[in-house]
Amino acid sequence: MKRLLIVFLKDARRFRVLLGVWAGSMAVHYYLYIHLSPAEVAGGRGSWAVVLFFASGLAFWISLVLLAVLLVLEDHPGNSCAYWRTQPFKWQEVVTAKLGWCIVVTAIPAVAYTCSLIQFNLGVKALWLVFLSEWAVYALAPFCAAAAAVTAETLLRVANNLIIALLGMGVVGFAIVSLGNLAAANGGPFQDILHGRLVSQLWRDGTLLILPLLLSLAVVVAAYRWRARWAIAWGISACLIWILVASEWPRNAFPLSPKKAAAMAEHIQYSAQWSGQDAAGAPALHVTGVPDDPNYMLVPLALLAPQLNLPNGQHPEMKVRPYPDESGLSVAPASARAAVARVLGNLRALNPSDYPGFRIALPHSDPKVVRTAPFIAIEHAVLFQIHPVAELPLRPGVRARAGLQELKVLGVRRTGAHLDVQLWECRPTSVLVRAWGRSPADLIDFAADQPFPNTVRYSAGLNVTLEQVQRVCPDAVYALVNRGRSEILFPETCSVGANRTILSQYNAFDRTFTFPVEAIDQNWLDGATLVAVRRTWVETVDGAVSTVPVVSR
Amino acid sequence: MNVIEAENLTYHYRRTNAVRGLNLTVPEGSVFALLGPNGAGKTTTIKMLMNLLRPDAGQARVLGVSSTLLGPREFERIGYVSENQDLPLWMTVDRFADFGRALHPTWDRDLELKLRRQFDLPGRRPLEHLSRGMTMKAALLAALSFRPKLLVLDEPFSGLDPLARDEFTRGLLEASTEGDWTILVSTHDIEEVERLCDWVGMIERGPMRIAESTESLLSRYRRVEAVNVPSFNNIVPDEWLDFERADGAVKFADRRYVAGQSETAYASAFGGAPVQVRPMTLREIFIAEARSSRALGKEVK
Repeated sequence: MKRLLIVFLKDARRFRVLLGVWAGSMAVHYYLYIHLSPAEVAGGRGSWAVVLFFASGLAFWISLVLLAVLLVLEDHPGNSCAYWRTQPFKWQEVVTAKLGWCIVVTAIPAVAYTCSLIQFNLGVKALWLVFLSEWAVYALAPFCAAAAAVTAETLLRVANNLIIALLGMGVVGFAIVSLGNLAAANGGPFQDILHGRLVSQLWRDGTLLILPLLLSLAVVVAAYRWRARWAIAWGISACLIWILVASEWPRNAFPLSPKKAAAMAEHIQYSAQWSGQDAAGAPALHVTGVPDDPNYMLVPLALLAPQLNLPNGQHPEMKVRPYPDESGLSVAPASARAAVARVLGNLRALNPSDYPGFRIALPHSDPKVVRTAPFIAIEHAVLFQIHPVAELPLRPGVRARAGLQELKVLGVRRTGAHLDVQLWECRPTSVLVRAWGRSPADLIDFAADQPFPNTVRYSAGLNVTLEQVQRVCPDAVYALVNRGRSEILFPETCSVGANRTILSQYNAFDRTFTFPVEAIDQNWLDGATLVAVRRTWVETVDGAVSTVPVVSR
Repeated sequence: MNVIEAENLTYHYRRTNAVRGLNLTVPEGSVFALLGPNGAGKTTTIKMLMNLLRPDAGQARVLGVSSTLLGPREFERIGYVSENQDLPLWMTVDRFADFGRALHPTWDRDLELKLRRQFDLPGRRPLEHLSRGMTMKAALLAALSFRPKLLVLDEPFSGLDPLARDEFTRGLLEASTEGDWTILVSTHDIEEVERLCDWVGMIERGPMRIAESTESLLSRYRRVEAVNVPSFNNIVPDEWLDFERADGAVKFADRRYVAGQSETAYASAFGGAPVQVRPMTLREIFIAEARSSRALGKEVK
């Protein structure tokens, strides 16, 4: 143990500069990770903070990989001139110290990330699993790089440069995947565990993620144990490469095609219905239709439960009742709920009979409060849009899609009177909703349908604009709805109920979809709803399927 | 008791025989010089003895333990300094000494300070900023300060200037007087070890050509020169090395010299011609043996 510590401390001194870069860049990166609006990061607005965010992230990952490689190679026993080989050390002590450092430098960011979840996302179950998955993500690239370096160092004697180049490409590939995940705010397949989604597909992906990690560890240990006999290293590396090729994970780390994304979106559909009252007379939310995993709903329910304001004006805790059986649903611990209530005290349900959706209200003008709440939203909060099913004019079979909107809020940032809300719809398609209120006290409402990957900007009472359209959904139309007056603005068809006709302006060049609602009087706009509907639904159903309430005060 | 015993040690680098069938015995308390030309297999032999390389065949015992099983317990009693050693050059001399002190329970702080003064090592300077000679002295400092039972030096004089060599050797000599150490030093710089060693082994890829005490070696080797040789039967015994004959003069190195008997044999072989016999230095012995070995190798080929 003492000798292990000696090696450990020796390496700390040896790589103190690199460790400093690693720690410094990690601190800066995480600080910005917490404080930067994901909308800013995703938008790449070019501010120095965003640049620093990515630069520190890059420095963090590079220093992490370098640390792992250099630590392992520093006293690599394949080098018969290694100093420790003639010093009173056991190989186990040396390799343990090396791996210890590797684990420390990869576990600390995983711990930091998990801690952020403890603070900001209290509904997450199985934190150890979250930590493990995050650690695997952080450790994969550096450990594989170290294993590749050990193998390459060994193969240098017997193999040609092609093999080394292939191994190098593997390392670079890992780095690219890791950085891609980082940039996409996506930690790989395990990220979905954060949302309580543990389906068999993820476990399979996870296994493929863990396996190369374990094999990399085996390479390093075998190198120390058998002094990097090339056959062992090569055999394990070949196996590792095979797993990489066979695994879908690297491919999944990159943006999916719209087709595949749509398929994924279908996969995670679920529905909820407002049942009015349960047997005890308390309002209840029934959740059904989660195809693979009943735990999927745990996080959002736990987050939202304390915040629901009921239609009758009462403020009891929302009772979450398992449906159709007793499995899978629970609420967050009491302490968690208290914390959530403190932070998200102004997240409340709209009256389900009037408004389909939830509101985020700016509680007051204190910028600290406004900044605090989004941190929860940034991470993994999921909002539900709960429709009173009976009121929705849905066709049979589309309820699951239309009955509930899932909006994972990535970030909310307030600038002056503006509140930007970035939504993470479903990986990898993201929805950015920007809402402006005229004053901090305005209620900002938002929702989106699955095929709604657009930026919505509206200034209540002035106009409503779909802008920065990332992908125009070809079979969707957008409309303004005023339910109270049964009026719908269909911009494409120019047909409006109640004898109103307002032409839409769609600019294909800058992909802007504008509703010239100046023509609408203020009274009409109050209570109007921005609607995204599928063309096919519109053709067959006379009414909105999903809505974004437009509120002006 | 022998500190090192090697039997039939063999090692190949792919198709090249680095060491073949080596037998080696290093008595306890001796200063054993392992001599041999470049590529003779000295470093490979030492690496096998230090468990840095695993022999392809044969076995060796170091401090009574199989060389392949040498572990922390043994390395607490073995000091190793090599020209090829990857020292932690980023460490300062102070840090390097601290590192060694933490590892060796028998570390002698007084000896360390004495050696540091003697070697004039700057404590706060990183090893990578030291000259090669100073670096080797630092390595020797770390290897000597825990008073090892066995000190193994692999080409310690390589790359050192004469002054550094002298200081290094003096330091080694002085240190060796302070304990009953066994020293195995491999080199081809014979002058440096001549005043140091009391046992000599000569190696050239195969078995040891010579392995005996310096005293015995110097006593049985003689340089012989005869002039005006009237007749010679052209029969050169095996023990006459480096034999040369020109214009009635003959000179060679006799490796089986026995006072009295050998003179009689010379007189008989050279027809009573005047013969001059003088002792040989280690260097001369080494060169004679090396030449003989190469000539033999050519003949075999």
